[in-house]
Amino acid sequence: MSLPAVELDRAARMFTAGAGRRRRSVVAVEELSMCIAPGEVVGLLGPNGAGKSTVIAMMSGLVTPSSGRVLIEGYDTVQSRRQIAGRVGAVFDRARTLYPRMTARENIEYFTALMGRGSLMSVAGRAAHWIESLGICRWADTPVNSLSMGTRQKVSLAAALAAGPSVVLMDEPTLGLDVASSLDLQELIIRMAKERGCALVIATHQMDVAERVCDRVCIMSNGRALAIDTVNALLSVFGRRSYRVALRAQVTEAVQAAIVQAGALPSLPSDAGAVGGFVIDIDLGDDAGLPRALEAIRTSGTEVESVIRREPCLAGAFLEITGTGKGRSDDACSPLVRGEARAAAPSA
Amino acid sequence: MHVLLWYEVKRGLLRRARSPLEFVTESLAVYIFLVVAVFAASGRVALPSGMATSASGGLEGRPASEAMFAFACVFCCLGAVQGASLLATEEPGSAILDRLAMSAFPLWMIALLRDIASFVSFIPSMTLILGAVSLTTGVPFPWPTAAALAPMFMMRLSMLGIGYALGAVALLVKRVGGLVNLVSMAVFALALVPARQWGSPVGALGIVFPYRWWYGLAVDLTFGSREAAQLLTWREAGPGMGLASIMTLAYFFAGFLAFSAAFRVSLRRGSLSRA
Repeated sequence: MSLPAVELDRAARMFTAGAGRRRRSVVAVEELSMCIAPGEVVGLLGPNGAGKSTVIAMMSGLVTPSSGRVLIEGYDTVQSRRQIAGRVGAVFDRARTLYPRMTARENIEYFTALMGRGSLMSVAGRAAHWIESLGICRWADTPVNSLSMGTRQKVSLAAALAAGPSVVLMDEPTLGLDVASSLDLQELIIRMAKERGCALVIATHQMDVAERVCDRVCIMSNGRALAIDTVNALLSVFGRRSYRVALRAQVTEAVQAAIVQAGALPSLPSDAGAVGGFVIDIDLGDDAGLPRALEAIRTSGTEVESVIRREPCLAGAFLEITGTGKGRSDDACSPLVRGEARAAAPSA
Repeated sequence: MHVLLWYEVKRGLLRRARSPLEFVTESLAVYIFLVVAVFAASGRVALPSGMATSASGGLEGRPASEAMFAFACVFCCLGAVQGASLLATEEPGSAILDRLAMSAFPLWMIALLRDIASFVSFIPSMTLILGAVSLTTGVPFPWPTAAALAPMFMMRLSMLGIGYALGAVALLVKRVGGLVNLVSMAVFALALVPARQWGSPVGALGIVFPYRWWYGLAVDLTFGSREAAQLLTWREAGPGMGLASIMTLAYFFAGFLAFSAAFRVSLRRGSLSRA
């Protein structure tokens, strides 16, 4: 069995906050154990202050764990700093790891040299290779402070990859990027993992990004890992398949009772007021229950205007797991429904 | 390591080339300062009363060229004093320090390579400035003799130790601009004391900083006669040189140890790149 690219062995981190009598310990990360295989993409998800960035910092050796240990290809990040240098590349948020007045090429070459890999010629060669691979040839000789955020992020990634790391850590890599740049970067992430066998760890708030690129996600809240599993496994447990049904009349208790009678679970959307009370969400155990539920609505004397299927999504599962949903987990999965439902509602 | 040194030198030169206005204004500031210092040393500074200063006071008896030499030495050492703290507070708000800390080279070595790189880019710019000062004042710049380069190296090495210590403070508390300015001013004050005068309060700084002893030797070797050059023989200058060497190495290693310890502490505290 091959060595894990990253191994967290009950790694925990506490910080002290405040001063004088108000000095207190704050748990940033509770004991976290996880193994990441080469070529695997793992997402760290969680609200602000969940501990994602601290986990990234512990993996990069920038923060010493208060207890437990973090191993990169078997090397302890505290005991073997020299050995992990070059094995770990990092892309921190908003590409703040580049010298703004140096060009993209100069930055990539400098940070490659910093990893102590190769001669002058090979450093220049590696930089040229990654400039071409990431499609940034046009901007290679432009100062970084003149580049768009998306291109800077690619330069930052090239600077991290040029030293040939086996683990790449990314803190909010798509934050502040436009849709096209974000999708570009996501494709790159997948390519890095599949083609080069890099283990990638991505801390992000963006559920759609995590859902698209991650093999596994670790959902964190208040420093605790609440769930670590594949996206599909989390969706099957926490994601709910539901339908949003727009009616031609307002939702009454009789309609809700009829749905329950049909073996489904009705709920009013959190924005029920905004959609005029003409919309109801139905949770079903399986798709076969839908015709029964619709028939029950019709027999209660209400016509159905439209039905929208709502697939389970990571955002919904995330809200369920972290307990921050409060009935919003369905809304998180299909933000466009509100507009469609309003359009479907008949005018008074 | 030589690859990184090359890129550090390149980075230092590019930084100057990409900010020409900053380079010109910095050079002009040094030029103006040196012109005034040379005029003052030669008794050519006019007072508001209309009288010219005599060659007395703090710069008494010092030839104008020696004043120029003194300040050139100070400017040479200021880079070493400020380098490590600049590294520790680099690009505020960025995560570049994190990236440097993740490198294959220890942070103290990156600071050392940057010091060498800054010295390399310092030589051409200082040569230009000193040439301009010589043309303006008519005072020829006394080029240090080959033998004087050794004490000048030791001078910079001792200041590098102080630079590391300041870098250690910067790693722990970040905002150290005032402290770095204070130490830089103290180094400046050292240039105001004639080479062999130890009695004044400013001269007392020379006892604290080994800089002063090496500076005296460099002056002797550059301006002195044949017997001054013989100071380099162990019998003549051995005890003083031995003590200064011990002090210099003590400064360097104390600063280096403080810097390394502060780096470990900042990793433990998780405060490396926090502003």
